[in-house]
Amino acid sequence: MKPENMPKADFVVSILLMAFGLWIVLHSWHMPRFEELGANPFSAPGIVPGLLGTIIFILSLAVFTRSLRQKGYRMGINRETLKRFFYDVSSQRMLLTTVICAIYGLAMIGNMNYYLATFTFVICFLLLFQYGLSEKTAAPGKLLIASGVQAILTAVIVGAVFRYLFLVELP
Amino acid sequence: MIDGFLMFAKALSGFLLENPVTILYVLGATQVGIIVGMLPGLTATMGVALMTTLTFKMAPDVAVLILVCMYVGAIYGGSRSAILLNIPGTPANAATAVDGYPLARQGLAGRAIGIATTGSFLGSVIGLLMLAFFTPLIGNFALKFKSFEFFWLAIFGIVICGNLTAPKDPLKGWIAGFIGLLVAMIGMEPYHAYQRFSFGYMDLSGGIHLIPAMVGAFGFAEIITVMKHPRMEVVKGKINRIIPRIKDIVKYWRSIIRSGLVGTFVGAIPGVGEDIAAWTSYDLA
Repeated sequence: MKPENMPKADFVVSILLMAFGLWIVLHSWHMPRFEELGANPFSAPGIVPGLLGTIIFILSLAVFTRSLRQKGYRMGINRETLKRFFYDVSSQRMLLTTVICAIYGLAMIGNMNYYLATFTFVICFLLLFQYGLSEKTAAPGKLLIASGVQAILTAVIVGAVFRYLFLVELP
Repeated sequence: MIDGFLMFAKALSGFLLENPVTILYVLGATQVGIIVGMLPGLTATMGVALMTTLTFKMAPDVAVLILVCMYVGAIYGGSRSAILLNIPGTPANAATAVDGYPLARQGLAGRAIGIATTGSFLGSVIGLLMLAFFTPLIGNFALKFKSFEFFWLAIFGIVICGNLTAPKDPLKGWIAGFIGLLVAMIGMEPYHAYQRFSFGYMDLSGGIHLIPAMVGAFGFAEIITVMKHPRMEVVKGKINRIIPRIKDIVKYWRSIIRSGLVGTFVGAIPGVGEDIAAWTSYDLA
């Protein structure tokens, strides 16, 4: 990131972190304290997270104040900058990667067979990036076969390694 | 203090004479470590975390040996992709990429890999000697630690982590450290078995385990960073000489010893790892 854009990023992220810290404090406050069971007040489940939430809030407030001093609130977002961002190949690749990974992690894993989900994810990923966004270097048929073979191998090998070697249970 | 050296010598002789099979473990674990290190997205810590599941049933000394070899191999292995692809295999190799990749583009990839290998070996030897020298002292000191000391050690770790990972902006490093502690709060707490921040999900009741946390924090960030760039420029050309000349090693003896010492001392600070040590050594060189 360019150094001149850092105050803007700090401004946005510090607001999100302050909200997060506050939410943690409120959530911790509403946790049971087990006083009716005669528990020591310092053993209440909300004490440590509440303290951590408070610290995160205070530190984020410091970042927020600093970003205000550096005029980070002047975001400079307009149609031109948005257009430039979305037309940039790096931004497109980054957003596409995030979307595909989010679909794989949030929607596919756990809701369908792991091997099928991984196969679909890998083949879509390869086809989109190899044929969709990059220079066309191979014939579509060849690319489809190569991507399919890689997707099958990845799904099987990764699944087997995690399940049998690392003893991690697959979803 | 001499106890450490005696223990070290005893362990070395036992390892070489009594149980030579362990050499195979050393070779295998180091090789796996090099491969893990070479792959961007798989860090040394993640490699050790994954390898831990394989060493559960082994004797403790063999298990520790394998994990250490894995770690050392991964940190070294990352220099290969840093030199040839300009992508550090592990965060610790970022400084290697700064000078290693330009050397590779000049056709000196073999020399760069050779120097990285020699430096890695000599640095490990210095670290090993320091470990043998200081471990008994630190061990006796650490055994006196109680809850208060551990609490302050954790706070010290976060503060120093914030200061060293972002020297110009430690606030962000501290925030990251405290968010890390907050992630550790998820799941059942030890006194009343109350499930914190699990929101009724059984999967979260046991907390967030190390491997998913590491894959999520390091792996996903690495994927996004790598995918942002359209194409990696791979260095093509013949790699001629890999083994460095003795005169080159002698020429850089000050840098090698200084970097070994810096690495050992920075690595001993809680919360700070090989990445900071590598940059500090690079700055001093």
